[in-house]
Parts: sequence; structure tokens; C-alpha cells
Amino acid sequence: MRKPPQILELILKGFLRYDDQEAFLGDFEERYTDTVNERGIFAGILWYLVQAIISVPRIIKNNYKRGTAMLKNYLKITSRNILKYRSFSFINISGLALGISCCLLILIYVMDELSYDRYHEKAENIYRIVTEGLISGTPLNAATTPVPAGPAITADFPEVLDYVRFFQDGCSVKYGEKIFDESDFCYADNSVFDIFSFELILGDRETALKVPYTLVITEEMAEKYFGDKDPIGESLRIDNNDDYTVTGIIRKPPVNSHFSFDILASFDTLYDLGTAKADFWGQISYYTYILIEDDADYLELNNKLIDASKRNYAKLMEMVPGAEVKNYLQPLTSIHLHSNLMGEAGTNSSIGFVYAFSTIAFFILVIACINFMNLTTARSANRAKEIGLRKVMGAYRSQLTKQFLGESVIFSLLSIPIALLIVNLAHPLFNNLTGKELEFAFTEMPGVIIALAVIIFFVGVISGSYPAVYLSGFKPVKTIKGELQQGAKHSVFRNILVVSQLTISVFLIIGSFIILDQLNYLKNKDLGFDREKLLVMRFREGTDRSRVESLKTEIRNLSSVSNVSVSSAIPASGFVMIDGFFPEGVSDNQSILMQRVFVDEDYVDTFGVEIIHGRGFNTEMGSDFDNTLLINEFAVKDFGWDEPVGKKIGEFASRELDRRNREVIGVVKDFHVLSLYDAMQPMTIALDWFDMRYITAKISTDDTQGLLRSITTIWEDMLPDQEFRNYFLDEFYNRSYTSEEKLSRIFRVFTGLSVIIGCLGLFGLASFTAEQRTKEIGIRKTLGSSLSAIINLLVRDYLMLVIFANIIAWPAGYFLMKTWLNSFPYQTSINAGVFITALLITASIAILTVSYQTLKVAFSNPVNALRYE
Amino acid sequence: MKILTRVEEFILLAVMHLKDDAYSLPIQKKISEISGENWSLGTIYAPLERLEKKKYLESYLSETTPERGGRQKRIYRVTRDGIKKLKKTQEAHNQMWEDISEPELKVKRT
Repeated sequence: MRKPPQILELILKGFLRYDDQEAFLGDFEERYTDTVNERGIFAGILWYLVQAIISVPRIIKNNYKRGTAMLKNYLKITSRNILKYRSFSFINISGLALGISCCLLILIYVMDELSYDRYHEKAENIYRIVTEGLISGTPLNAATTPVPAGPAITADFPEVLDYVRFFQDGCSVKYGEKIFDESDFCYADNSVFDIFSFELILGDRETALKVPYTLVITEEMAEKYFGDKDPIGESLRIDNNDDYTVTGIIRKPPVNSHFSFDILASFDTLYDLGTAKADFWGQISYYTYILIEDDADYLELNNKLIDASKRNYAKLMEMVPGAEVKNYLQPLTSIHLHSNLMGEAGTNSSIGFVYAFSTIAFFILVIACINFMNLTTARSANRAKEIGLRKVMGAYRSQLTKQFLGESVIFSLLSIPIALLIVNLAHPLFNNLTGKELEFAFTEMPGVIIALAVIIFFVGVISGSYPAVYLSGFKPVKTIKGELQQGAKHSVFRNILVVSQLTISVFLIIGSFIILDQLNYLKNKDLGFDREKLLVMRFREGTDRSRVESLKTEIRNLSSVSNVSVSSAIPASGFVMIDGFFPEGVSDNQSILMQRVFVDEDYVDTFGVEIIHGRGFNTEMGSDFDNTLLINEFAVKDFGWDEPVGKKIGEFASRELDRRNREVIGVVKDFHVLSLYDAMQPMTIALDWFDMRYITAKISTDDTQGLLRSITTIWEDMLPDQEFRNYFLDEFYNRSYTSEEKLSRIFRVFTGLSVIIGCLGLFGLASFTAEQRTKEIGIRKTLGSSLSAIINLLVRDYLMLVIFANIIAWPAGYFLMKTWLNSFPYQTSINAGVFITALLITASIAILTVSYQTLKVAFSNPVNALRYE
Repeated sequence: MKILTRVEEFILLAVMHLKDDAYSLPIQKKISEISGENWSLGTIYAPLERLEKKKYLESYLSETTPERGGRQKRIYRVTRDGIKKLKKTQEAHNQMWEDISEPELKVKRT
């Protein structure tokens, strides 16, 4: 005796009424047995399956007939309502869809930001060692460590399993005739393959970077240098000095990594080159990552590390009195959003951005949901009559509740597919806005979609609950007589919703104005030099002085170049050397940190730096070389000097130059050698040939293309072994504010969208109110009310809401934006204009949106208005 | 005063034929045999239920049998109302057939 398949029996059982189960299943089983006996097991199962499937619809219908009898009617009413009030439905659904799509887009962005570096298998156990300290009163906060930090810490603490060091170094790479400057050239220990999950496509991960002068390159690099040739075993000439052998091909790190590289060279090469010394704790320029055990406590290790630092840096601290240096750990996954130290390997984002964007996303979703609820409840007040009639015909209250809840849930869920469509269409624009290459694979984020569907479901439930719970409770007679038709009287809740929505809009408007203000302030602030028409060219440090000098002369001889200067740093480049100095009468024992720039005689003229005291470098005398200094105003104030010219400043002796005094010959007006992210610091400018790397031309032509062509020819002639790298200083400077620019753009776009969504809501609400008051207006007109009085009547309410929202949003906007501004050393002032503008914008938009409907009603013939019953 | 539908009539008659063994499967078999068409179980259940509701049928659960995996059968019996109804239906039938002679039923050749 065979039993039919359990699973099929369960299906049938699930749909059967309890009292029928026995007999029905018995019948099926008997027939099944017969079939099996007659035609075999397979036919039996097939028969049972077919029976099970074809029985289901009938059984369902029989069991749930009561509940479904009205379903068709409900669906019909819902679709009729959508079609009857087309514009209302459009506004309502599209507003919600727009809100959801904004929210989704931002969510994808935020998720990408949070995903940084998490693709490493051991990401949770990888930490970066960073260095914190105080040297001569100046804080040091570096993302880097000395060479021995990694090995020492791994040796000292058993819970540290391994370390890897990186050294970022731009250099020129030559293969045959091809020569390029590679800025993403990194030296790394072989353990990079054990700690991180970078994929080595070709080569042996055990030995690829063991031997000095070996390197692994990315596929792109292999293509660039070797084309189709097998790169393994080929050699590349680095900085025109040494040949390195290619031992592997590595996959380029994904975009969501906090650092990137194109070429990895063996770290041991640095020892061989003499750049790195295995036991020298004084050179803090190496990134060190460690891998710790699963169960190791990172905070505890952190404390131990701080103790160990005392031991490790003892020598260094002896050398520099008063210095204090220690190491601590940063979790790998927190670097991208939480770390902003000196010498970060790439531009990190900030958790502030993530918060700001999440807040915007949340706000927009709230606005859209409020809209939806407002419009739906407003509209449903019109259906009191329907409710009354249904009750008369015998509808239970529970049926009405289900009907209205269901209707508004269907309505709200309609917005999700539309939102997904919008996201799909808008995502290239969004990528453009954020400067990211984000993929929009919804299938990969079911959690988000489900969460969203749940939110929207609740929005639907809340919007539906007004008619479902409130209206369904009335006496049918009253509703049919029309006594309850006006939902407008119960509008306190609705007004609160409108005000909160407007408040958010006003806040976003204020925010985007202040961000824009700050951005313009940063871009247009007088930096203390003339940044227009400056062509900056970069040559390699250590290039022969004579070659650079003749290059300079050649460029100077071009008719469209008015000045040329060679220097170690240029204004607004974001890079400058800092050194310890001993200014006369200020400090004799302890050095004072100052920015240090080495220049030639033409520096002051080329950059248009103003000398406000004393004199500039004298070209003719030649005597200024090597023994004179210009300092900036800030230094003068800082040192409290009354007469700076003639004062002596001693130079820190650890450099190749011996400690000796230079004489101050002049004072320059403060100019920003870094960007406006950094506060002004004391600075020395010396006429000397040291660490030179920039050659800058002040040009006097508009034909930049032509000029660039002639300079390229000269360059290739004079420095054939170096790539011609150049940029215009003003463009470069503006680019340094990309993150603010991005913030500003995103803020503006989403503010605009939130205002549009808000407008849709106001429009819908206004048309509803106007319609509700048709009769009232008709009577007013008949009794002689003027057009303006009627418009005033209808618009006044909305204006009050706008003003109220502004009053709430102003202080909130002020304090939040003030906090944001405080993160800048140079900040624009917040003026009252921003707030007034926000008020004017919201008020005029509100008036514009409501006036269309209002005018329509106000102009209409009162006879029609009164006859509409 | 309604008469039974053909399906109802057939089912009632089948139940009467089958006596103590009148449950869904034999009913379906019987009807299929006589009519020459394959009636599915589903087409039997609904009228069975309807007839029971109209009180033309009554049912009880039988003792268990091994070939049904130890499950009970729902055995049907025609009620007095059911029998009256059947009679009425038969009469209606007969009246409809009355006065129709054999030759008229012959299929004419054209």
C-alpha cells in the first residue's frame, strides 16, 4: 500500500475546510491507489498532482467566497477613483515616486560610501598604524609611520600576525621608447597578498615581491607598456636609474578602496636604494597595516601600543627636545569615512557627508509621505457619501476599514515601480552629480526594496486610516445628507503636516544657499597673490640645476610669457615643506615650525606677491642667494617684531644645510601656500636652490593651446627623460574644492526636488480646498465680495503656514550651518539675506501653486458654483 | 417549483443505485460509465454539497478502510425530499417526451 506524496497531500489539506478533510483526502488517496495499481506509480503521482492543482482554485473560491464577493467592486472603485481624479492621482503618485527615487539614489550612494575596503576577506582584522605627536608645540597627525614600526609591533605583540608597509612614490617609468610618470607607484612588502585580498592574476603570491627590484603591475599598466606581449620577466626602468623585473599581474583595487596603486614594487628595494633604513624611527612616511588575531581586542592593543611608543621613539625624542610621538591603530574599514590625517593615501570622504546625505534622503521621504497622506485624506473626505451608502446597503464597518486601507495601500504601492523606473532613468545624472560610478542593481539589494515597501505600506495605512477609521464611524444618515462632507474643518493635523513639510524645504533652501556662499567665498577669496594665467609645470626633484635654468631661459624667451619662476612650492598647491627655525629673540633653544619655500629671484613678480615691508630679492647683486629671507606678515605678528627687516633667523640643522642664520630683508603680504582648509602659518621664503620642483610661467596670451605646443617642444628638447606635466593654477585651485562643490551640487539638486515635491502637495491641497469651498465662494460673490477679497481669503491660510514654517526653520538652519562652517578656518558670514530669500522663495512658490486653483474658482460664475448640487 | 438539473439527477440516481457504498468515487465511476463521458471528481463534489444543502441528500462518515490509508468515507443517502424531487423530475421528463413519435426522431437524409 503506497501513500501519495506527502507534499501534495499537504497542499490539498491546507485549502480544505476542517470538517471535509477526512473524506476528501480519503477519496483522493483511494483513487491514487487505484491508479498506481492500474498504471504504475508515475501515473499515480501525476494524477494526484493534476488533481491537487486543479482543485485549488475551486476550493479557495468556496472557502473565501464571503470575503471576496466585494473584492471586484473594491478594485473597480479604486481604479475608477484613480481615473476620475486623474491630475490628483498623478500628483499624488508621482510625488511619492519622486520622493522614493531620491531616497533610493541617496541610499545607494551612502551604501557605497559605507562599503569602502570591506571587500577584503580579513577587513575586520586589519588595522592601520598611524602616528600622533607634538613636535615643538606643533601637533603632528600623520597617516604614516616610520619604517621599523610594523616589524617592531609585530615582534612585540603575539596577537599581531603580520604587517605590510607601503611607500607611495610618483616616478617615471620607461620601457623602450615609452616613458610615463606614474603617480600611483607604490613600494610594498610581499605580505600585501596575505593581508589584503588583492587578486594576483599572474605570478607567485609567495615570492612576487620578495626580491629587491621586482614589481607587479595592474592589467592596465601591462597593456600600456607591453601591449600583447607577456609582461612576466620584462624589465622597466624606474626614474631612469634602475631596472625592475615584472614578476606578476595584479587586479587594480576596486574603486571603493581608500588607496589605490598601478604598480607595486618590492619594499626591500627601498633598503637597497638607501631611501629607507630598517631601524630609523625619524622618517614618518610609510603606511603600515597590521593583521591581528580574530579574538584580539583592538582597544587593548591600542593601549599597549601607546606604551610601546615611548620605548620605540626614545631616541627620536632625545634628539628633538620636547617632542612626543606615539602610534595608535585605525580599523581599516573606518579610514575612508573617519580619517583625515596628514598624508592620507587618497582623498577620503567624511562621515559628515554620509550623515548630511542620509538626512536629506530622510527629509525628502518624509516630505513625500506627508504629501501623500495629506492629499489622500483630503480627497477621501469626499467619499463620506459613498461610505454612508455602503453602510445602508449593509456593509460592516470592518469591511469599510478593509476597503479604504486596501485602496490607499494599493495606491501607495503603485509608486514603487514608478520610483524604480525613475531611478533607472536618472542614475547617469546622479553619477554625474556625485562623481561616482555607481551601479543600480536592485536585485542585489532586496533588503532596501523590502524596507522601502514596508515604509510605503505604512504610509498607505496611515493615509487610509482617516477614512477607514474616522469616516466609517459616522451615522449613515448624516453622511448621506451631506452634513459631514467637509473634511476641511478637521484640518489641524493636516496643517501640522504641511508646516513640517515646508519647514524641511525652508531648511534645505537655507542650507544650500549657505553652502553655495561658502563655496564662492573659498573660490573668490583674495589669496594674497594673482592666480590668473599661471601655467605650472612640474619637473622631477633633483634635476640638474643647469638644465632647469636653461629650460627657464628658453620659456622666458617666448613672447607670450611675461615671467618665469622656479621654486620648491607654489601658492595654493596644497603642498609645502615645514621646518623648525630659531627666530632671533623669540626662541633660542626650541625651534619654531614655519612653512619653508625655496625660490628664485622671479618668484615675487611671477606670482604677484606683494612686498609690504623692506625689499624683495635683488636679481643683480647675487648676494641675496643663500643668506637672506622673506617672511610673511603672519610671522611678524606671531613673533611680535616691530622692525622685522634685519632680524636673523636660524635654520634647523638636521637638514643638509648647516644651521646658520639668514637675514630677513622683507615682509610679504600673507598669501595662502596651502588651500583655505588650512589656517595661515608663519612662512619663510629663501633664495636658494634646494628641493626645486616647480617651474611656473606667467603668460600674457589667450592662445593657451599654441603656447602649450611651443612649451612642449622646448620641454621635450631640454628634458626628454621627463613627462611634460602641467596645469593652470586657477583651475587647479578651483578643483581643490571639489568635495564642497559636490556637496553644494547635491544639496541644490535635492533641495530643488524637495521643493517640487512640496509644491505638488500644496497644489493638490489647494485645488481640493478650493473645490470644497466652491459653494461658499459662490455665495460670497453673489453677495458682492470682490475678486481680491476672495483670493486673499484663499491664499491667506497658506501664507500663514509658510511664515510659520520659516520661523521654525530659521534657527535650526542657522545653528546647523554655523556648525558646518566652523569646520573651515576661513568662513563666510551668514547674513540675514539668506533667510529672507528662503522666505520669499517659499512664499512665492506657495502663492504661485495655490493661485492657479484659487483664480479658477474665483473667476468662475457664481451661478455654476451654486447650482452644482 | 424547480426540477433537478441533469447532473443533480444523475447523482441522486447513482446514490440510489449504489446503496451503502454511495460515496464520491463510486458515484463518479457509475456516472462516467453510464454517460460514457469522463466526469472528474471535482464535478461531483460541488453538486454533492449543493444537494446536501438542499436536503435532498444526507451523509455520514463511515468506518475506516485500509485501502484509503485509514481514512473515513462520506457515505450519502437520498432523503425523502430527494426522492420526491426525483419523481417530479421524471414526470416532467415524461411529459416532455410524450407525443413524440419514433418516426419523428429519425434523422432525415438530405
